[in-house]
This record gives sequence, structure tokens and C-alpha cells, in this order.
Amino acid sequence: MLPVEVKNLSKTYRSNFGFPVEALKEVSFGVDPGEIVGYLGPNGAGKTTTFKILTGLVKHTSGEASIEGININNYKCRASLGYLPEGPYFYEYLTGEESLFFYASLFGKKHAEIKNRVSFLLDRFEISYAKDRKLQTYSKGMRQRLGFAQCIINDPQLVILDEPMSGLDPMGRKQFREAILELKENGKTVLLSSHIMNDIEMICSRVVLLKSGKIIENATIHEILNKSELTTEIVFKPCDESYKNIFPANEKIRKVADLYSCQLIDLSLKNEIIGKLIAMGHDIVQVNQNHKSLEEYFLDLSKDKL
Amino acid sequence: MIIYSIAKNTFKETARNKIFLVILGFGAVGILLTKIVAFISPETEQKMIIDFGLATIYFFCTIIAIFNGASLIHKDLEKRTIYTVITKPIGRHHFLIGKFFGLIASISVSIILFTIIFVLYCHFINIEINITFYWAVFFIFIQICIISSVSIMFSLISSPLLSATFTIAFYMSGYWVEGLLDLISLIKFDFFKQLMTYVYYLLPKLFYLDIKWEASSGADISYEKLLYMFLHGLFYIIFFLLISNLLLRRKSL
Ligand SMILES: Nc1ncnc2c1ncn2[C@@H]1O[C@H](COP(=O)(O)OP(=O)(O)O)[C@@H](O)[C@H]1O
Ligand SMILES: [Mg+2]
Repeated sequence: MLPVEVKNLSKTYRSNFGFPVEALKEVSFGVDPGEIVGYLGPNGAGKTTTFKILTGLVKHTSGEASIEGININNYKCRASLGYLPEGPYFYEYLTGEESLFFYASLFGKKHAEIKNRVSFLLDRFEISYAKDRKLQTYSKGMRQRLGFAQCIINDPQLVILDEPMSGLDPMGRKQFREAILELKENGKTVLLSSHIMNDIEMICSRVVLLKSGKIIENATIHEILNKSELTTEIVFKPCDESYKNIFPANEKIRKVADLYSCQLIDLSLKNEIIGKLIAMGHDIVQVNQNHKSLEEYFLDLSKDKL
Repeated sequence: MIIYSIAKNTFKETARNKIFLVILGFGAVGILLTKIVAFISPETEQKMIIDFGLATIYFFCTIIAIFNGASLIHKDLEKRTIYTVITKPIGRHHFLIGKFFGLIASISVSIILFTIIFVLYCHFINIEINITFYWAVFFIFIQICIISSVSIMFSLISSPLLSATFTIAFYMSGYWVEGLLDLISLIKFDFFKQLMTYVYYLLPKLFYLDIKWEASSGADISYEKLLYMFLHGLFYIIFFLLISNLLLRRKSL
């Protein structure tokens, strides 16, 4: 019984005018307990659509899916689910505290039962100072934090976050990353989408890459980084102009302050070039061996599968 | 419990809306102005004032029902506030019924407030109020529940402005339908005759629930008839809510 299990899920949107849109095509994947899985893809890939199907907002065209072993057609499967929609949007006429009590009540929780949880979450997400203010007066960051708080109000086993970090400043992103890692420490499972790979790379154990409604990769970060080629960067301080003749014409040399660096395209030349540089008296400052970032890997993969 | 919280939240939405309070204010003033109509024919003052008072209560509560009902669920869809609600372990029917009862709550508050103002006012100007008056108020309430369920139904398939328009048309047809049977007997083509007969049965007979005349003339109404009226209203409220539920269930949000 996996926290999330998706089998051959397809969704075709039929608008009243124009052509049907195939947003998902036979998508299958699973999420293991305790994992943080990144659900990645460019805008329009179908991430939100998948989440909307899992959370019962949109009906799928074919295939099936379950949450904690319960079919998604049964609304009770959402008892152990927390969901943060893209946005998110709240009732502006409620105060922050009222909102949390309202969301808790939808789980059948009484005011007294949930009081501690609400005040804990208000504190945890640093909105207790504004808990009696109407949401009209909340900033984007505060809304996003309130969104996170309502998402875990029921202490869910599975948390689905749709673009949780978009539109946040670096400080806000860091807070969110910490909150997500905290969930993992507490044994929760997290499925989050993003089109920003760097955020994901830092926290996810596994990624599912989606493009045009199809899954093009499903692997752990570790596997992906091992699969992806290494690149070598040579940083040096030249003593004269002679270094220009050492590098082949297609290798680009960049100058940063008084240092020069070259990201080698042809890795087989690495030792030869370094040898020549030393022999001619140039000062080698650094040789870096880098894995490609998730983003570069993803861009390569997208190109291949086009 | 879930339905109660959604209803409570919906009620808060209305109660914290300034326009609602303004309509309440206008209604209260409207009721106090009923005395003016008495000048038209002083000998039937009692009848005129009760008749006009009930009409005023009806009018303002209908406005509240139509304009709140027509935008009620639409607002949730458009502002996407529904995303954090429907994704909790609740069914769409919980949401629908909760919204409906929330609207009914604000209508109840308005109708009770208007009635209290009117009764106090009548006491003040020495106009006697009989039990049929209270039944008339109750059936105004039932009619407005029907109108609310209809406006919610329309709001699921069209914009607030259109659904308000449809609801007003629907409301008027609830009175015109009284003459419809006579009209149908005049139709020559069988097909249209059939069609119009269906339309006749589909439309709630709001005129049947209207007992303003009995209230103002102090006539008694049998309990049997009151029961029939109540069941008639209840049937249509449930009918339109069921259709709304079907519409909402099919919707991609
Ligand atoms: N309600 C809708 N009606 C028609 N097409 C839609 C609807 N929602 C999304 N789409 C289309 O489905 C595709 C996937 O969208 P979405 O799931 O929002 O992507 P993502 O979240 O990955 O950016 C897009 O091409 C989008 O235009
Ligand atoms: Mg999206």
C-alpha cells in the first residue's frame, strides 16, 4: 500500500470550443512512504492536472489512482492527505485563525480538539502576530505560509504541494525547504511539483520528470547525477598571452576578474591541457569536476525526447 | 458537522458584506414606509398595511436570495477558494448543501429581523396581526428557499449576472404559471401541448404558496392546506438541489 499510486492515468480536457487538450497521457508512478518526490516539468506539462486528479478537483479520463491504498474516487482517501494548491486562494473576509479553524472543521474536528494544533501552526509559520487580521491584509509570503499551515492542519501522512516555492523570496524558499524536510523527519511523505529545479535538487530524494503529459524520467537524484556526464572546469592565472594557443578553437575561455576559466567540452584533452599550462608557467588555481545540474540534465533529456 | 461549518462560513461571508447590511437597512426603512400606502384608501388601512408589509419583506428577502445565490458558488470557483475546501475529506454534496444552508441562514436572519420590525411597528400604530400573517411570512420564507436553490442551480451553469436574470425570470414564471393550464388547453399542436404540460409541472407554483391576501383579510387557512403547501415547497427545494448536485459533481474545477 503506497502513499500514492498512479496507473495509466490520462486526462483529456474538453473545452466547449476548440480542440480537446490531452494534458496527461498514460502516466504511471508510485511514491514510497517517507520519500520526498519532486514532480517536475515545464509549464503546461500536466503537473497541476495530476495533483487536481489526485485531490478530487478534476475527474480523470481513464486509468486509476489511489492515496494510502484508497481509490481517489472515494473522498475519504483525503482524510490522510494535505494539499497546497498553486496560488493559493483563501476567504479574504476570514482572519488567519478563523481560516485554520474552518479548514480543521472540514476534517470533522471540533474547536476544542484542534485549538492547540492551530496555535502551534500559527506560531510555527510566524503568523500568530496577524492571526486576528483579515486575510485581505496578508502579504504573498504570509498567504503562502498560511497555505502550508492549512495543508498540514490534519497532520497528514501524505502532503502534496503544487509549486510551493514559486513567488517567494530566498528567505521564504529556505523556510519552506526546512518545513518540507521537517515533514520528512516526522515520517511523512511529500510529493511536490516545481518548474524550478534547484529547489528540488536540494530536498528531494527522487524526481519524476514530466513533459507534455508524459513521464520521461523517474529516478533518484543519486541515479540521475551518476548517469549524467561529468564536466571539468579549469581555472588558471596566465603569465602571458601564450595560453591562447593551448586550447583548441572551440573551447571558450572566460575571464573573471584576473582569473581565466574554461569549461572543457572535450574531456579527453583535460590532462594534456593542464600539462601544457603548467609547462608554460601559467598558474593552475582550480580544477573542478562537476556533475551536470538537474536543470541541465532535464534540458538535455527534453531535447532528446522531442 | 462539515455541512454546518461550510454553512457557518458562508453566513459569515454574507454577514461581513457591506451590501448585505445596506439591503437590510433599506428593507427596514421600506417596512416603516408602509403607512404611506394607507393614505390611498384609509377605510382599508389594516388590510393595505399588512399586504404591503408582507410584499416589502418578500421583495427584500428575494433580492438577498437572488444576488447572493447567483454568485455564491460561482465566487468560490472563480476565486479558487474552493480548492482548499473540496480537497478535504468531504464530498461535493457537503459543499453544496453547506452553501445552501449558509444562504438560508442569512435569509432567515433577514426575514426574522424584518418581521420583528414590522410586528413592532404594527403594534405601535394599533394594527392587529393574526396567525395567518405568520403563516404568510413562513411561506414567503419557503418561496425564498425555492428561489435560492434555483439561483444556485443557475449559478453552476452561467455567470452571476445571467443566473440572476434567469432566476428572476423563473420567479415571475412561478406566478404566471397559474394561468398556464388555461393557456395549454387552447394549444392545438399536440407536441407543444405536451411540452407546455411538462413545463407546467416542472415550475414550482409560487402563487400557490402566496397567502398575502388571506393574511391581510384575516382569513383562516386549514392545516391540511398548509401541510400541502409545505410539501409542495419542500419537493421543489429538494428537486433543484438534486439537479445542482448533479451539475456540481460533473464539474472540473
Ligand atoms: N481546465 C482546463 N481546460 C483545458 N485545458 C486545460 C485546463 N487546465 C489545464 N489545461 C491544459 O492542460 C495542460 C497541462 O496543464 P497543467 O496541469 O496546469 O500544467 P502544469 O501545472 O505542469 O504547468 C496545459 O496544456 C493546459 O493548457
Ligand atoms: Mg501548475
